Amino acid sequence: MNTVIYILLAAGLLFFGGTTLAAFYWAAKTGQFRNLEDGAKSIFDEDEPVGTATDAFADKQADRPLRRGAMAFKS
Amino acid sequence: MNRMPVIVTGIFLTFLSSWVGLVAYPYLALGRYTPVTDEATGDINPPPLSGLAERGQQVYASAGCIYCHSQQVRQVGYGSDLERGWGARPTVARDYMRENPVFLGTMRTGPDLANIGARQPSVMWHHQHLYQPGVVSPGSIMPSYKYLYVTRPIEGQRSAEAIDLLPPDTAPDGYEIVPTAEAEALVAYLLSLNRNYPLPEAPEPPQ
Amino acid sequence: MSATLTQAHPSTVTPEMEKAQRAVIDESTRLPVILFYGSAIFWLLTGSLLALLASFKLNEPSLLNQWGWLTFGRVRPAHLNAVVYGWASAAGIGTALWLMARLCRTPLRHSKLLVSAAIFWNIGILLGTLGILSGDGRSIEWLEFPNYSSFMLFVAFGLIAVWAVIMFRFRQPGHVYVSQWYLLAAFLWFPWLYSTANLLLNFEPIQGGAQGAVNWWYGHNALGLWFTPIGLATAYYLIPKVLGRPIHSYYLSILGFWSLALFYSWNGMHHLIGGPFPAWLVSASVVASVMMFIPVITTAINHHMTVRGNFEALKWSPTLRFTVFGAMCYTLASLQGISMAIPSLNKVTHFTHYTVGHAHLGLYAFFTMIMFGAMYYILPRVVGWEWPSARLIRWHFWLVAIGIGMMVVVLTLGGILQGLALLDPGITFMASLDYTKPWLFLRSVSGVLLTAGHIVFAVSFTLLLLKAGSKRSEPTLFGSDQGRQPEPLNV
Repeated sequence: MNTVIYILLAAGLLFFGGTTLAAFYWAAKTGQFRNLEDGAKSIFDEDEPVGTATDAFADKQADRPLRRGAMAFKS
Repeated sequence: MNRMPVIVTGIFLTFLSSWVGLVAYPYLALGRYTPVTDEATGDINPPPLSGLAERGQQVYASAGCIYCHSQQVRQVGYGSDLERGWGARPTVARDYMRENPVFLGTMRTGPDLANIGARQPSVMWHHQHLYQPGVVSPGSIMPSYKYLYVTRPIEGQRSAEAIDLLPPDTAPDGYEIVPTAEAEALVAYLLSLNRNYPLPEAPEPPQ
Repeated sequence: MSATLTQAHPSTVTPEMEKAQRAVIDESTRLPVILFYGSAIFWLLTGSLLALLASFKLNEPSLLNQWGWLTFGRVRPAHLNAVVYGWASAAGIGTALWLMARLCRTPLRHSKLLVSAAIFWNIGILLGTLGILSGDGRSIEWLEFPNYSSFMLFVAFGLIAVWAVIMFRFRQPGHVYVSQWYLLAAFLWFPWLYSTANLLLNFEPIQGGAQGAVNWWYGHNALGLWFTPIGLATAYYLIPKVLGRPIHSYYLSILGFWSLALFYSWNGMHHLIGGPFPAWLVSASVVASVMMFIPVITTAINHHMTVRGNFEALKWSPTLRFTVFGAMCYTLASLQGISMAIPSLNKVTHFTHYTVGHAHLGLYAFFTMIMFGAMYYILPRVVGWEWPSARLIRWHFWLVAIGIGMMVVVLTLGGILQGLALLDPGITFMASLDYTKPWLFLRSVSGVLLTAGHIVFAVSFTLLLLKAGSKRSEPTLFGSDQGRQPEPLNV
């Protein structure tokens, strides 16, 4: 019985390890780790650019502009 | 366009590992038990359920007893289950081979029932308790299961199965409270809950 | 490969074109999103009433106990399934549909698949809830729905998974945003999870000893591989989008995704510590639970660093207020979960109301709050109308925030007292029960606050659908701090 457990554990470990390696290999190869800034910015566009807030209570406009960070990304 | 297959493969493989460990392995190792014959006494353990108790098992599921009662005696070092007298030994996977569904439970708003048949062997106690928990267990917040009982006029002699020792005004004069078939089945199931028999992997500890 | 990654040069795409395209995409999701959201809110109200009844019954056991279909052991699972599948899953699906369309930058295709899924879904939930109340419940936690109901849910899940894969195939070229990873994973994991568990526990039941393991493999993964990815995908989109600030570290978000996928699926056995299972199996789950520290801390740091310096935005953005509340509670719930998997602490919390508090911290304070945030963002854009009353939104927030905070605190304290009493064989069982009674009363009070909040939200939602009030500004631009003038939709 113990042998079966160890084989299953080893198989699980191989799955764990193999999957992680495969995933990272693929991610590295296709540039998922190279253009990180592009990835992060992919949800913004010219119409709703970085630095533009897109939500507020209807009766209360954002009275103060964003203080930090937002402008730093605007390049 | 080669991302899709890789993402999908990765997603499936990570999941597959847990499927192997937590589904396939338990099925192979914990899902194929056979009963054991005790050489000293000739008993088959765990004992098969009677037809009535098997129906009671479904009443137990239908009434949702599991939401307050567990059915497991944990190992030494994990809580006071043994000290409380909830069982003579910790329960093991083979004890549950006949259970469907299994009522291990995750709450103890009420006490553990793994061996309730041994701890409370009286049929009448269970009927009293199910009909009006406070009568036999003061302070209990268990609801009454009066929907499993009928109140009917006494015809001639009081029925043998009518519940006694309830407070005087529970039923009107001339009426008696008798269990339905479901209540009889549920009590038969509760009485069958006795996992104090020895198994090779779980010998009963010396008293 | 290189061709698919090429994007149109920014100079050829004007902001007006992008705005128009976004409006078309949002509009294309209208019917399925409203169907899933509307039914989700209906089941939220139903589930809240069932929860209140169950909670009151623990305070006053004689309440409505003459009918079998309202007994505690049926009302409680009916509550759980109504809120888990009827509310949380449907709200998650509605949010995911909209996110998929936006992130794939393509109008929603094959909405008939989704409309059929919504119909199957709701018939399944209705049959299942009535089934539990009428006594067909299976008493397998998280899988109580009888087979005639779970089958319909599976069909709905299948349709949605197929739809998600189709959408992903038709996405516009560009980067795959981290939210899409999470959503796609959730849509592929869950049908497998749900069908395997139902097959082994309900359709062709395996032996009891193995059922426990499969039950909690499912129960925990439903939270970890279904609700968590959808909740995080939503937070990873909404927090940066509302603030107009990219996620602090995209690398950390990807790392968080893969470590979650690796460790979460092994966590389930920590619900069975000390139980009738091989020690190594439970230990593997305890180890995997502790390893969850990696994705949790990764996500917490990432969200915190993104919001940092802009916490005043919580004052003016309803979406951000709910979403950040949810994201913070994700960290809290996960750290609490890790601690509960450690055997010496589990000894106290196992079998007590502490666990119930933990479940609500995860499914409500984290997931449900993020879903509220998402609805506040998505619905105006889909309906083409601003929320009619800011006051209702504020009432909603404070009622549910105070309600859930109170519920978690009282169940945690009551659970610890209960657990310590249960651990000491010198204290009678009845005394352990007495310790919980005042806390269970306070839990009912917190439930009333939550239900009141849900009613306020349902009123707000209905007014929005009726397009009550005056049109204040263009939905896709309201609240902009750029001082732009609202323009009419030009689609």
